[in-house]
Amino acid sequence: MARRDLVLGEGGRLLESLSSGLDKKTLSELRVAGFVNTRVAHLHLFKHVVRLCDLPPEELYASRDPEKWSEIIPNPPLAPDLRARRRKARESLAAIDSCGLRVGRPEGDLPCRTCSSADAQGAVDEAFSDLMASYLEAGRQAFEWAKRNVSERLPFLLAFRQNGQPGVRLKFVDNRKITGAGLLSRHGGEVLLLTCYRKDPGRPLSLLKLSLSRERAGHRNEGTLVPIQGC
Amino acid sequence: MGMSLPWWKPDEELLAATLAEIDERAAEVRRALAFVSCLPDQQPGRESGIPLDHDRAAATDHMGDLLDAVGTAVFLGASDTARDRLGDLLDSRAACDLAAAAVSRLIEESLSPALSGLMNDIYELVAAEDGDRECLEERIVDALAERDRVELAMEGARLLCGCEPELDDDSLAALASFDDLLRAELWRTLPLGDRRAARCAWAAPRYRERLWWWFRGCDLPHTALQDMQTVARVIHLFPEARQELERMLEAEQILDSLCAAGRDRGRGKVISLREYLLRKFRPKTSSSGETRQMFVCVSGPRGPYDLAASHYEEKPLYQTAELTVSTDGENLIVDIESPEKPLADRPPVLEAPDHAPLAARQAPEPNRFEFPLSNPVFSAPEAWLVVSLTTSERRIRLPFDERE
Repeated sequence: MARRDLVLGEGGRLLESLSSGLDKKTLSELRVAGFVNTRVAHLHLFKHVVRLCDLPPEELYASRDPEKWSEIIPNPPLAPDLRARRRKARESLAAIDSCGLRVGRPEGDLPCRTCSSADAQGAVDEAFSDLMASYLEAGRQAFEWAKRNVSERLPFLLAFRQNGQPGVRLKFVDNRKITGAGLLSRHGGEVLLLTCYRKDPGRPLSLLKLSLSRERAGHRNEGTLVPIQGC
Repeated sequence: MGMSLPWWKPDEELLAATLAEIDERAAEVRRALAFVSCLPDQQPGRESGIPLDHDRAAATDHMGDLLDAVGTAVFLGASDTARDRLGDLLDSRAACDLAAAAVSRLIEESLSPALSGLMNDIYELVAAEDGDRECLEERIVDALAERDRVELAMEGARLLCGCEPELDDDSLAALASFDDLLRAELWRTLPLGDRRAARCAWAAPRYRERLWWWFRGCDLPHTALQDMQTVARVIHLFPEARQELERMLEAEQILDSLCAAGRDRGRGKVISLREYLLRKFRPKTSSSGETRQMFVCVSGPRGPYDLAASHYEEKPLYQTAELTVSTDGENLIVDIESPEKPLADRPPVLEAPDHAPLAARQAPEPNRFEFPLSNPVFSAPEAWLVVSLTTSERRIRLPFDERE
């Protein structure tokens, strides 16, 4: 899950392909490899899935999970009751000495963001491997769906550059309204997730598309859009 | 379509998606209003003094979605078209009440909860490491997108109601609080760089400033805050340089006030390159329709590409044996004339003071390059066009020297 080199290799096939845009074949070969780094992965897991940190107070203490995980992950390895889920997670975290999310930390504190303990990160990866694998699989499925269904009229996936950097960023949304963003790495077309979650399940998919359409038009006007060829 | 800026052309796909969305959401709102009007309390929304029940909440959601699309249409310069599509909803008191409730709900449920996380992320952005930084950028962009939604909904409500939406005091206070806090720390988002420009560049130029959280300083390079550290070190090592810094600050302020005065008076002002080029393209005395017919296509050695080059006529502005610079009202166009060729991998570049150099994009036609006039660099009053040819490099000042 560690970050790879985000700069596209000189002379690489991907770079050649991206000089004029992403063609369908290159796009079809892109795969979600994981999150951009372990900190970002844990931050997302404990915010969006376990709902233990990085939330407004009213959500942090709510007993109802606004996400319907069964719509996203078949048989999710999650306690449906949010309080039970948090309690169980706290119990697992209590056994990890150097983890900042252990009991005793203020509720809502955000230790994952500054965590530099490889021991803690490894232990958390192990303790929450099932959950993380399911979460990542949901992200992979969302990206695959967006890839298959993107077209000029249906902008489920957007590729762009930022600040003249050679790396390409991707944003996507799927039919379950899972939105994600990632970086394209140089290694075999891997996509490293920066974020992935279902922000507003009640919002119509067409409005999420409209939002991506606005973003795409902006990048097109700025000359930062990486066109997806053949769409 | 009611476009007030003849040279502005909205993204066709975005406009089509927006109008389709208006039709779909307007139909939902009509159905919801018809249903809600049958409920015991005829006044939907929180101002009625009762909690939003399921049906009213659904109706408010539909209205919020509609306002998002209507606001998008207005910002694309297509407000007349949007108005046509809203039809009977325009005169509906119930629709106006629902619109105000929808905006209030967006502020309460989407914008306000995003504030504390947004401020934390903004504070951490400058010092973040690779990977974490890109993640923070996405979080900041997502949170600020909530502010977009509120602005678009408010604009949609203005069009629907024909007046300012009547928001309750709590919503107004929450919005003001969000804006005040964000405005004070907005400079910390400068590392987002051209992402900020792209987030408002979909809108017609006159509406971009309304998305001020993206627009303000969006022409600054993403390294601007690092450059500030350099300036601090220069002043620390050479206190005598402070006077030069203050002179530069004063010049910025004077330029701002001249531009503002120019906007107010419309005469004797410092004009942007964009306006200069558009005036060249479209003389003041003619209507845009008449003007377009006056111009002839640039003829030249491009042969079959002449007709396919653009939907619009092109106005040549500067011509030498090696190159022609022209505009079609949307782009500044550089054509390298045969037998000259552009230097490989070196497209023409526009350099303007206080702006990052802008590289032209390759047009579909051979040896043709374009700079979109919507780019913030054209807000500068002057610039240099640098064209690298295989035999030489040409530096051409804009505005063009008419004597050349």
